[in-house]
Formats: sequence, structure tokens, C-alpha cells
Amino acid sequence: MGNVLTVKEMEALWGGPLPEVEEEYRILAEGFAAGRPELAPYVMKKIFSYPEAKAACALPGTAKEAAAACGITEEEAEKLLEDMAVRGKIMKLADGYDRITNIAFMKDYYFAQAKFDGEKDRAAARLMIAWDAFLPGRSVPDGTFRIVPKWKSVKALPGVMPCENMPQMLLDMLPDRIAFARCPCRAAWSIAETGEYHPEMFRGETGETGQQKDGLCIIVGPRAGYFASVYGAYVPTREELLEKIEHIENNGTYYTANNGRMLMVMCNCGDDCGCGMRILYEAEGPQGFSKSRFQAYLAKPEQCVGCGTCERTCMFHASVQVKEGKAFVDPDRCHGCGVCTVKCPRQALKMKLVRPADHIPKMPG
Amino acid sequence: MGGFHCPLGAMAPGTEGCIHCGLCTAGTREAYAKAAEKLRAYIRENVPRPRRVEKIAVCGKGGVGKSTVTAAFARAFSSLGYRVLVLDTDESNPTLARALGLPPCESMLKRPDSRFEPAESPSWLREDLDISDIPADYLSAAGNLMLVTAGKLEDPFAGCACSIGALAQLLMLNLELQEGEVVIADTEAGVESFGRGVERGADTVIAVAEPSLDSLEVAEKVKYMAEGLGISRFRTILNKVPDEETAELLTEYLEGKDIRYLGWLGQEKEVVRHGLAGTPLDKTEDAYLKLENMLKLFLDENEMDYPL
Ligand SMILES: Nc1ncnc2c1ncn2[C@@H]1O[C@H](COP(=O)(O)OP(=O)(O)O)[C@@H](O)[C@H]1O
Ligand code: SF4
Ligand code: SF4
Ligand code: SF4
Ligand SMILES: [Mg+2]
Repeated sequence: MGNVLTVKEMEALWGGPLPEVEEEYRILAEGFAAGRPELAPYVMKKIFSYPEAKAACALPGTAKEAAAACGITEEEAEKLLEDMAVRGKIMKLADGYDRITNIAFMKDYYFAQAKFDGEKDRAAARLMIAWDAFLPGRSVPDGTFRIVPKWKSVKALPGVMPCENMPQMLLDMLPDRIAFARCPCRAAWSIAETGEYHPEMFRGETGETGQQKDGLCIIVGPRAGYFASVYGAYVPTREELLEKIEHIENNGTYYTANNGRMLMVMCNCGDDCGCGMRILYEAEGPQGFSKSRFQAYLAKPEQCVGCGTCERTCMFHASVQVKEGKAFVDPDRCHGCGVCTVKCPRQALKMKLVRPADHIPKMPG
Repeated sequence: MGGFHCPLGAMAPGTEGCIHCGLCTAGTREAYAKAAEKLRAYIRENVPRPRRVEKIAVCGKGGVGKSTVTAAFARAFSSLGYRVLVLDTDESNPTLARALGLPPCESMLKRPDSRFEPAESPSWLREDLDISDIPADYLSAAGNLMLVTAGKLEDPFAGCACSIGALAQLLMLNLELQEGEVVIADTEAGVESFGRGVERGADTVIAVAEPSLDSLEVAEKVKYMAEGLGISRFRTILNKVPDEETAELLTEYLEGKDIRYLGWLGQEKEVVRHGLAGTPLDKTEDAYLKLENMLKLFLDENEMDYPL
């Protein structure tokens, strides 16, 4: 797709001839800072019903204000707004409601909750992904996020920093700064392609079933409470979190986090995980993502049997490949996620520290 | 997860977690800069970090290389910008002063005013002791590197090993360190005496081990005992390792036991040579650089800076 979508492309995304778009949708679309301006009103139209759009246009504000603007009763407005908040279309604040003005967030919020709306959601997902595609791949500055290695693969090494200990950072979020949800990126992608959520179409043994509790999306920090109360994200006990960590430490996804010393956001990504990473892949490789400080290497050549598990599980453009019966890691490509190390059935691969502490910025940029 | 608008993870301004930095609502460059500054200050304060490393006890069997490691760590700390106090509790030899390149210092026990029974202690040795409260007479110092010796048995009437231990322990316990200050105690603690000396006041135990089962088992037991004292920060340094393959074997052994290590040192000619000459390692020599690197890794593990 080019930088500006053709009508034909937009029709394909919409799923038919483009309809008339009411003024309210244009107003809502203007609130979005960036993206594909030509697509924005259609995304809005797919997501918001007309009464919803009218109420959303009155935001930020209270139900009372929205009621006045729309000529409906306060109870009606309250119900409309509450429903939109729960569906991830708008945000609920302590003293009212507000619009969401970033498509990536809206997509996350929209697909983080459990209900679906069939074909309508399918088109919405298609549109949001197409819009999103325009955003993160090219506009996330280099080094905004960072690959964090599987803890198992580095925990014994000298020099591992606290911000590289994902299990501990997650445990530190207990009891109320952590919640599990179905992965909205994968959900959006799956729904866009099939109209339903098919977790089995994703690599990396996600463990996803569609239930929030089984979800691979781990929301950390203060927003976890919002996700739990508004979108029904699952708040785990310590035991459940430990179980989840054990699962993820051994599966084929890799950790990503904000590139800093303090954990503020994390993901369990894959080259197939839906939006951000997938699109980054289809472009020129993961921009916006800094490598970890580690690198895989074939520590025990004599143990390698050339089975190719490492090559199959590496999600970073074949950073490790089997050549003449032995695994070979390309140090320039390896992002230091540790997946191959964990997955090698012969424990032939190890990680080594290759970057200094200041590779991880002390302060966000 | 995707709600990235707020660096602190608040859903929206004014919601849970928001510190009202103003970043998300900043309309001008100046407002943005001001908000970013507020945010930075908050993050600086709130980055989770382990309890600061302040008091390190270096342990291991006699002859494994404790004094060598202590001296190199102390000098490396000092060149990284820390104020370092080395506490020598070795009753029997002057290696440490030499390895530090400091003149030997007056032992706390050799001075007439400090002849005391095990139960007594000099009046200055009170609680919340600042490094600068230690009488200059007892210190041997060069720049930000200081050595205090808790006693030598040259004078058989000056005290017994027990009082030396008591004194050193008191010093280790009572010192109240400021940010940027560290104490490294070179102990004589093998397994037998562990937990009775300076290590009681330590927040970190570093066990030096040789490539022998014996020595590794000592490290393991010391780790166990350190945990018993409530010291969870335990690291091993492998010394006099003949080659890389052996190092691999040893580190795998440690990994299997869940014992963290900082690195390994080979049979280093330089160490022997300087040991014989009674001079400190050159800071450009391999052995020193390896130990300095281990210290840096250790600081990284604890989210601590190199001020210089
Ligand atoms: N890595 C090394 N290579 C060769 N000799 C060493 C090494 N480390 C220590 N030594 C030598 O071993 C002896 C004991 O070292 P020392 O540091 O005094 O041990 P400790 O304080 O544990 O008794 C000294 O002669 C020292 O020079
Ligand atoms: S997974 Fe392990 S054994 Fe198989 S090819 Fe890779 S390194 Fe070799
Ligand atoms: S080779 Fe691939 S799977 Fe292995 S650590 Fe590097 S990026 Fe990760
Ligand atoms: S004001 Fe600062 S802390 Fe509050 S939501 Fe905005 S960016 Fe986050
Ligand atoms: Mg010694």
C-alpha cells in the first residue's frame, strides 16, 4: 500500500462501496493526531454507531453534558458512554469520559475486551490495522522499545541488570499493577483475516484461548487497574503469575519492553503477533526496537545435531541458521531474545553479554 | 501492551498513576521540556534498584586469592569514583597494604590506648560512625582509598584474634556510609568461622574459590550461611583457573547450584610477580583489568553508577 490509499484499496478494507460519512465521524477523525487521514472517518464510522458518534463528539465531558449535546436523557447518555468505554471506544475518567485519540491505543482497547461483533469487527480490525500500519513502523523513534532476553537464558551470567529480569519486574507489579488479557494485536489480526479469533494461527505457543486469564498480553503499571475494571482483564494471584512466567519463559515468544530501567510497558511478541512487530517485519526489520545486551552463540558445537529448532524458532529474520549440520548465529542480526537458547533441545546455544550497561538508557529520551 | 501515551502508564491525565507532569498535554516546546524534567526527576527517584552495595565481605579459604581480589576491587572502586575503606582483618600478613600500594597502617590494636578486653571498644567506635570519624592514626590513605587494619599479632600481648574480630566487626556494623562510599573487608572466614566476624555487618559476600571441589563446597556453604545471616547478595569469583574449559566446567557447576559468579581469573604471572615484589598490580595489566571488569558487572547488577 502506498502512502495515500486509493479508493479501491479503501473499498477492499471497508468491505464494499464507500458510504457517505456524516460530519460527526469527520470530527472524531480529526482528533487523531496522525495516521491515514483519508481512512480515519471510515474507521470511525465502522467503530461508532451514529448515536455513539454524536455522544463521543461531546467529549471530553460528563454524561450530563453529552445528554445536553445530543438531546437525550442523562440515563440514555450514561448508558451509551458506559457501553462505549467498556468496548474500548472511549475512555472513562474519574469525572467523566474522554475520547481516545491514538489509533494504536484504540485498537488495543477495542480488542482487549472479550466480546465481538462479527463482520463489523472484522472490517474494523482490517481498517485499524491498515491505519496502524501507517503509524508505528515509521514513526516510533529508534530505541523506544527493547528486546528483553528470556530470563532463563541469561540469569546465570555476570552483569545482568535488574531491568533485564523480567520475571522479577513482573512480580514486583503485584498485587494491583498487573493484569492479563487476550493479546489485542493478535486478536485484531486474526479477526481481520478470519472474522474470528483463532489463537492457533500464531507461532510461539502463546497459550491463548480467547479467555483473558489465558491471554499473553500482560498489562503492567497503573493502567492495569483500568484494564481490569473496564475491559475485564484478569488480575492474577502470585501463583498464577508465576505459572504464566514459567509458561512464557519456555514458549517461543520474546519479551519486549520500554527501553529503560523502569518497566512501564511490556509485550510478548512474535514475528506474527499482529500489528506492531508484524508490520515492522514486513517493512525493513524491527525499527523502534533496540536489541538486548546479549547475543546467542553456539557454545557447545559438539552438542549441536543440526536439528534446526533454533532456526525455526528464531523470529528475527533467521539470525540463526543451520549450515553444514551446525547452527550458526549471525551476530549482526541476532537481537538477543534468547528464544533459540531456550528452545535448543541439546542445550548447545548460550547467551553472552555483548553490550555495556549504558546501552539501556537511564532516562526515556 | 499498547497505551503508550503516558511514560508512567497512566490511562489518562488525572487517572491512577498520573503525577501531573503535563507531558501529554504540553502544547509548547517549553511546556514539554518542563514536563520532561519533572518526569525525569520522578523516574530517577523511582527506578527500582536493589539495596545499594555498601559493605562487602570477601571470603574463602586461606590462599585462594582474597587479598588479591580485595585489593583490585578496592582500587577499581576508587578509580570509578567511590570512596573506599578497606578493612583488613587478616591477623597474620601485610599483603593487603602492599597490594593496595599503601604504607602499612597503625593497627587499631597496637596502640596503647586501644588495648582492651574483648568486651570493650575504643570510644570513637560508636554507632552511626562516619568514615571520617576513624582517627587518622589508624588509617593509611591515598586519595579516596583508605585502609584500616584491625590488628596484627606481632605483639603477642596486644590482643587475641578474638578481640581483633570483635573490633573489626564493630567497625563494620557501626559504619554509616554515604552514597558513593563502600567498605571492603578482607576476611579470614572459611566455613569454620563464617558468621562470627565482619561478615555479620556486610550486605554482600564475595567468595573467592579455586578450581577444587573443596573450594567450591566452601563457597556453597558460605552462601548458605550468608543467607542465614540475611545476606542475599552472594557472588563467587573463580581464581587460578588453568584454562577456559575448566572455567566452563566450574561455571556450569555454579549455575547448577544457583550460585552467581562474577567471572574467573587464570593462573596469572603478574599476580605472582607483584606478590613477590610486594607491589600492586598495574592498572593496565590483564589480571587487574579482568577484576575491574568483574566489579563493573557487579555494579551493573545493582544498578549502581560509575561516578567517574
Ligand atoms: N590468579 C592468580 N594467579 C597466580 N597467583 C595468584 C593468583 N591469585 C593469587 N595468587 C597468589 O596466591 C597467593 C595467595 O593469594 P592471596 O590473595 O594472598 O590469598 P588470600 O588472601 O586468600 O590468602 C599469593 O601468593 C598470590 O600472589
Ligand atoms: S536447536 Fe540446538 S541442536 Fe538443533 S540445530 Fe540449533 S543449536 Fe543445533
Ligand atoms: S538467534 Fe534469534 S532466537 Fe536466538 S537470541 Fe538471536 S534473535 Fe533470539
Ligand atoms: S500528566 Fe504526565 S503522568 Fe499524567 S498522564 Fe500525562 S504524561 Fe502521564
Ligand atoms: Mg589474605
